[in-house]
Amino acid sequence: MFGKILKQQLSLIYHDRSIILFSVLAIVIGLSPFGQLTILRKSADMSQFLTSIFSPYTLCFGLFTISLIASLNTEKFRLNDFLITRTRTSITVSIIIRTGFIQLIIWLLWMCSSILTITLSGLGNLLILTRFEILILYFYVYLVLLLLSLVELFILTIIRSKIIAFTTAFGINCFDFYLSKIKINSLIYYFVTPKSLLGILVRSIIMVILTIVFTVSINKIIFKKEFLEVN
Amino acid sequence: MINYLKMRIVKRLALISLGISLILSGLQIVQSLTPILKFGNTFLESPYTRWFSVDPFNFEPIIFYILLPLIASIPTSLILKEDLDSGFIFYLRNKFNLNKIVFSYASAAFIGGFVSAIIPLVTNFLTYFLFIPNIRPDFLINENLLIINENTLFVDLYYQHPLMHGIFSILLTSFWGGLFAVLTCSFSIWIKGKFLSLLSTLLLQISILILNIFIKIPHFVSFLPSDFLRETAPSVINIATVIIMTIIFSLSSIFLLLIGRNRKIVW
Repeated sequence: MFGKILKQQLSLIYHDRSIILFSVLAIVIGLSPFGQLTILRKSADMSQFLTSIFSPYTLCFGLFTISLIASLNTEKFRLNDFLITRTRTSITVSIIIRTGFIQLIIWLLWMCSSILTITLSGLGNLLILTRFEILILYFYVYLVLLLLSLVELFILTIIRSKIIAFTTAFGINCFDFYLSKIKINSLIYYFVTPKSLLGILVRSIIMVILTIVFTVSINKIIFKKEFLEVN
Repeated sequence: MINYLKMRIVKRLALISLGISLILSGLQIVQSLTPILKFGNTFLESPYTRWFSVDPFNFEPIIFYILLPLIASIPTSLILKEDLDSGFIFYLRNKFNLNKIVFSYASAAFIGGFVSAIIPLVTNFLTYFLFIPNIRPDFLINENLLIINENTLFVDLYYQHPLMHGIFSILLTSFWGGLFAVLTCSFSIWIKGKFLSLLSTLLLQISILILNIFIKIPHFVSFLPSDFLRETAPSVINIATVIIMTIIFSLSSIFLLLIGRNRKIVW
């Protein structure tokens, strides 16, 4: 069952043309801190270097919003799918595979273009110096993308309204940005001012647990849902 | 035709759009008014220095002005797309001229965007008059807001006739809401998915936001709609860029509609 669903979802993603638009936007977001980094080359300051790469304003309204739109845009399932596989778990598995792969594409393109920007602007030595921390921060951003899109899909499974799902997830994102702006401990935007490595690890464990909880609850809702009225 | 379009508005979607914008404007009122009601109006604040579009301290105006394309295009701009998909437009073609059909769909989209942008702004502006005295803003007393020539259009009008300036700002924002809705309407002929065509102008605004960081035009003037639509922008703005962006957006929406009419509706 798992292999068949994986094959189907990969072919659906491969033939989806709108993913090109989102990948181009992700690449441009990765390239955007080029101007700030070239100014930074004279005075190599570590915290400014990190905030210019992981700029909260660009990520909040750029990358996270794009990933939210992308994961909702391709969200569709057919009734035949769980009639053929004879379990309702197949819908959950397909949702998880699809969102995971789409976020992976967007995140990989963003990460590659951002690393390219750092090396092009002549700060490659800083990148080698802090390779471990930066890789952890990049991975943290991927977990954030996954968590936000799962929250969105969780709301979508409860009420079949894409607009409400998008605005709620976007609202959670913006609220967390606001919390990090007024210096209250936030979950999503902790990577802007990371105080310690332990904090990042604890928060990433919390996010992994939250993604598992949302996955299980999506599965529970789908098991009890009436599907005949959909679409 | 107009009666039909009036009947076609989905009330639930219009209520969702109104709900999002009214929640944002209400939260801004609560956040902004609580210190004044608690400690008294010691800094001689007036509605003109506290309302939604001027307020530089709170986070809600940023979200509202970035989400403006979505809020404006939810109520009426997808009617044309739905009628094209269901094939109802071919029935209308027997009764009306095709130019008239496309024009009335676009004008319905414009009116929907205009109304959904004007209601939260007007309610927010008027609510402040219930709590704070109507004092004319002074350059020295309200220096902390930094309302100067670089970030406000027609700044001398603001200090002489602040109410007129506020009304002009509201009208400009709602005009842009209408423009966004028409642009969504004309994009929706070309884009296949319904959800993506609804969010197309939001994506356009996000790409302009990224380009605004990426490409710097002389004097660091911002060409992002969510910046220059505010009465006091967070960055440097210029009247020339506002006019140029308005012309670009309106011309592109008109051309997309006309080419779409020739290519997609008639073939």
